[in-house]
Amino acid sequence: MCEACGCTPALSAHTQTVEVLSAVLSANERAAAHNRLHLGSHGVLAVNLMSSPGAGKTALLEAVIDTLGKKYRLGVIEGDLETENDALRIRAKGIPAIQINTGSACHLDASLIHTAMHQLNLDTIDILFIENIGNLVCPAVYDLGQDANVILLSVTEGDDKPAKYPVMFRVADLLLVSKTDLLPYLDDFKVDRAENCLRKLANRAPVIPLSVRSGQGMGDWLHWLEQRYQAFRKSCSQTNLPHDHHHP
Amino acid sequence: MHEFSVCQALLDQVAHLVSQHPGGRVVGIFLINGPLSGVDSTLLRHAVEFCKKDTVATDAVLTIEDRPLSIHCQDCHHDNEVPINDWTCPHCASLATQVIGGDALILARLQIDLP
Ligand SMILES: Nc1nc2c(ncn2[C@@H]2O[C@H](COP(=O)(O)OP(=O)(O)OP(=O)(O)O)[C@@H](O)[C@H]2O)c(=O)[nH]1
Ligand SMILES: [Mg+2]
Ligand SMILES: [Zn+2]
Ligand SMILES: [Zn+2]
Repeated sequence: MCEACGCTPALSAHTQTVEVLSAVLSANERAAAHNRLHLGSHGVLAVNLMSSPGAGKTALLEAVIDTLGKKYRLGVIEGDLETENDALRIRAKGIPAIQINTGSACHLDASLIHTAMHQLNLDTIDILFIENIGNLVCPAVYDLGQDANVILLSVTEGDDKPAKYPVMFRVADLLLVSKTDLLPYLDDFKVDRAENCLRKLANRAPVIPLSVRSGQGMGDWLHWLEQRYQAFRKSCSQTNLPHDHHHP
Repeated sequence: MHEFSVCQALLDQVAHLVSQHPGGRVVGIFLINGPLSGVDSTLLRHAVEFCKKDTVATDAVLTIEDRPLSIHCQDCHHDNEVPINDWTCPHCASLATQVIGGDALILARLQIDLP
């Protein structure tokens, strides 16, 4: 189509139109499907943690390790633009952690996760957490092969974030409203308003207010996680996925 | 800002498709975008202009059609266009709605000049 007037100029006799109709990111989608197969065949629940920078993802993982680290075998893939800091925090607790540094890329993608997954022994992991790059847009666009998306929204960010970042919040399987111990200092953040914004995206995911400082909501969050793990293991045993290890 | 990685994925896919037409030269790339794809059409256009040099798409004209966000209501079964942050069915006010368009960046078709 001609940009100026919208007409369709006659094509030369040698021009062929090829209908494609496929997602531009279809290569990532294939890689994610491959990861999902891997994870399923090893019975590993993968949870993709997303939020803006500093909402408390690593602090949350540390708290999970402290409470569930003996009951489940945990593993972590850490995504950051730079530094190994977050992986060091996790390893300090005796949990295997692979650090991915993306340099300038604002998201993890399925092939990065695939490489990292192969550096872990999936047979020794029950729950694999993927801490995505702190960013409220780009990570949502790249499927990694995870079973669940957990999104953190800290109370210092404002309760209208789901309305401003629908691409991210629509994919939430669970919304954690983090740092609620700070609510007394932030009189304009209302958990209800954040939840309403999420509901307007036709998303019925549970919303749990949570603080790793006060411990509020930790019980509900861990309960959700264990339920998700049980459901995932059940679906794995039912489908009994074959592990054909074909690399695209 | 991930339009450069999206652009790279696009050019890779285009290169793969044109390789099936020996001697072919891509002259047109047609994309369909929507407000929930997470990809900004303007930024993507800039990224493609910047990256296409020295690729099979160097002479290609990029056209991006921006489509609105549309939903299907599971209660009243109407389809409607909605704003990006309120997917309430405009017909019956239900929130049991599902996105049926405007949430993906799609490579619709290519035009390839054959020798
Ligand atoms: N008051 C309070 N502070 C918290 C809480 N959770 C995390 N923080 C603080 O918030 C800051 C950032 O926490 P991190 O866990 O590093 O956040 P993150 O999301 O992993 O950050 P990036 O990986 O850099 O995106 C740290 O100073 C934490 O101590 C909480 O529940 N309450
Ligand atoms: Mg972190
Ligand atoms: Zn593999
Ligand atoms: Zn309706």
